[in-house]
Amino acid sequence: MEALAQRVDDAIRLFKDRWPILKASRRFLERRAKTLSELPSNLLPELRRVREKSLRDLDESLRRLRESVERMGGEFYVAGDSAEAREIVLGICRRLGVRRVVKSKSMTSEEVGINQALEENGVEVLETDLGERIIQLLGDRPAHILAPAIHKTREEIASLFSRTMGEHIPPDPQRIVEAVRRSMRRKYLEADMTITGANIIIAETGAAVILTNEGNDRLALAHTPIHLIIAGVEKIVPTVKDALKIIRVLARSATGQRLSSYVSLIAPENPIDGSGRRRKTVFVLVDNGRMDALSDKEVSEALLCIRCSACLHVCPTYNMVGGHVFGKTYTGPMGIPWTLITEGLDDLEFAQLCYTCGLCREACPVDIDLPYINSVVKYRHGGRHGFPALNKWMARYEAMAKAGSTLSPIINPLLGWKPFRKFLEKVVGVDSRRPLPRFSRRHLGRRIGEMGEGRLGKIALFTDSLIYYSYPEIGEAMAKLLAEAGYRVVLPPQRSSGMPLIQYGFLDKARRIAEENIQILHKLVEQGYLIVALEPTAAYCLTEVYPKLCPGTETLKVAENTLHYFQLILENWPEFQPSLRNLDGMRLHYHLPCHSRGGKIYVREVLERLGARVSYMDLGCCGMAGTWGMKRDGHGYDLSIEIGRWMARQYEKAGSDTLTTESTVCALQFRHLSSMKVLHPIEVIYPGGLGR
Amino acid sequence: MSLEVFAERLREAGGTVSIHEGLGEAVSYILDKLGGKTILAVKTPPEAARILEDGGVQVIRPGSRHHLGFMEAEASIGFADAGVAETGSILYLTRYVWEEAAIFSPETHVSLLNSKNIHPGLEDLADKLHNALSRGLSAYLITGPSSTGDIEGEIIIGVHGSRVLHVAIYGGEE
Repeated sequence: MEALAQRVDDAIRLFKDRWPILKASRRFLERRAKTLSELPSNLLPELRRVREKSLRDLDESLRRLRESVERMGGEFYVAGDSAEAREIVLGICRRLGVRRVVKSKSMTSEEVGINQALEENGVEVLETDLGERIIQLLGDRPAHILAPAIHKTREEIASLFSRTMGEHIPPDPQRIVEAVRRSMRRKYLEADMTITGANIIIAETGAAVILTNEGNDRLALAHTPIHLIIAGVEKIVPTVKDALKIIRVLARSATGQRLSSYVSLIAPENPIDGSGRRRKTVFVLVDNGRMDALSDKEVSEALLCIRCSACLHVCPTYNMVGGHVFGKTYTGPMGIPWTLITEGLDDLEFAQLCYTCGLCREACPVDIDLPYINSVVKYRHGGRHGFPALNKWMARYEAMAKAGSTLSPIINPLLGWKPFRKFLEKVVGVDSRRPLPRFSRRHLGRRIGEMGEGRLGKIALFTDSLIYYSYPEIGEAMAKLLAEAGYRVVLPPQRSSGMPLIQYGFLDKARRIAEENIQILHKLVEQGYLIVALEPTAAYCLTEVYPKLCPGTETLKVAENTLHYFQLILENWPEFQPSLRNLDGMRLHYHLPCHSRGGKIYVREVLERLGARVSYMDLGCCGMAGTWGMKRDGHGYDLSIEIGRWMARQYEKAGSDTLTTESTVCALQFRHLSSMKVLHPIEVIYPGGLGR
Repeated sequence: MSLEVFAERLREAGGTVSIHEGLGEAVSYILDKLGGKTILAVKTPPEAARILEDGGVQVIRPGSRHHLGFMEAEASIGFADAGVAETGSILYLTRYVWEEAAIFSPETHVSLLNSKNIHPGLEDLADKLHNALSRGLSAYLITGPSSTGDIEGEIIIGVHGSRVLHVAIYGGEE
């Protein structure tokens, strides 16, 4: 863990104030939003069905693909693991007398270590994708599955090519590209074999589908007599129609292009010309843990991945540290399950960089529940290698907050006293630079018993530690508003949502808490209560996480009857409006918490209906992530601050002095990092509830 | 409608488009634009071969041998099998590797596309692609010139494939 924290701090220093990965990701995301929205709404669910069907029929598709390839004269191999894949490729090179290989980007070849194996056996390998070539010359590994050299500056790249080509190349991307183009043309003609990956493989015709923008695969294949395709078995789809669904989505979701510049559907064994020579085709399909993962119910969903890397582009921590810190061969959020699948559990400390914000799931075109799968990976990794002590402390936040509330007259002054904070940092691991919320002796449970007459219905509140123990006046005002509108409101005895446990992979304990909460809430649902969550994370746990943690009809029933607080207001507007303050002329920024995403932006709409001029920018996650942003140094705080600092700067640049967000967690971050006034929406719309 | 969308989206992808009444006009326009360059033509229908050859274009026919000259030509002309409005793409179905070499190697590629062959969406190509791939043909969709974002995310045109992609649409405005 210390080594990971150090690498995080090194990366932060390297990228400080430049944020190259984040900036590239945001460019992709801006285009993506536009081009993805052009697609019919049913396409993404259809795509998921295609991927599910492809995996379900994988055995049959493998058989059919072999038939298609061999019928046309190609060769077909399935490698059980990396070593076997390397052996097969080396055997082919020996048999066919291959001395020089040109390569188009292939993550599977990175996974099994083809380049090194070839070079050790005297075969010269030239990566032709510009980013991959940079990485190859540096002896590095890709920092990103689409843009491997995204972490390098133009100066570094120009200097690298100047050195290796023996000529001065200025740090101008256009000039660098021209020099690379010139130098590679001859190499294509000299090569004996092209190695590519495949984005998709079509079983019914034996075609490999390759998407590139540079056209390097096109040049290589047009001039070399052998094509070796190395790809994971999960890339196979049964039909051309299935492949077209993926092709329609892939580039839009990846870079925001409607289509990559070149999409090649390459049939096996095309004749080179009229002379009778053919371009030999060899498929090497790699299992390497994929078939086992198919029957691993908690992880198999990761195999649906189409490798668009949208999850990387939205990931707040990945965007700050890149793939050398956050990942191995496969990087970012999807890199966590993919490292487990292809390499096992041993080298997965970097999974700690996922803090369950959930943005990756929202971005995933096939709706892979990466946040939950990543918690499962942390659970398994902790089971094998032990859980970090720091995380064990943080996972006890509810108990600490409860004690803090009881002892608040003593604890609260101590929280502002530097020596105590240093002590807390050393023993518990809470960074002494992070301002901490104070605890209230009159916690929410002491403020709300039952209230309201119930003309509109009955509501049971579900909350989380921060509102419960530190900001109970917010929770109380929220409850009063519901009562004033005509609801009967109760705050049943409950545990906190358990998010810290889920976040750090303590899934057994999280499950026990979830079961406790479900038992309480389900009884209330049966009695006709609606569950209203006061914190976004509380709602997220009930609707998204608990159904995975403790599946069953009771959990589903609770999830179906859970509403976000501001959703309830919006859906019953005429009942609430009379109690709410007119906001004509007010200007403010709205920050959307990650766990409120995925549907309508309720708070913004409430504010706008009341007359406020709300500026909203989709900037992603603020980096606080509950207790994660409290962890000392590179374990949490440093990275959390880097993410939040960039975001606060964007809000401040846009020029409003007030920011509102319904997450008390996000509010902590902005109060710490900006000069803006940060308010909970209830303070804005219903100040009377707080006695103002 | 498809033609307009096709043209708009190809331009957004970095390609250029011209629209012509007939094939003859389109070919003349191209020859004029490419004047002075060494040009190859592939997938040429018989009615266009003569005009191209008269214009100094080397028309490569199916029996041709793959040769290094493909890498050195300055421009190539191809007759597209289809266009896709949704993405602004052209489609080539090819049997021979040399056809790929001729289409993709030169710095400039000009595609001639009959407006009748513009399909609204990618999925409309399913049958055409299935038939071609089943017969051992390969299929290539091209959407704009070659590009990279590998240096600081800045888009640079003309890495390995064409620096210029022009599509001359003939057959009028639908």
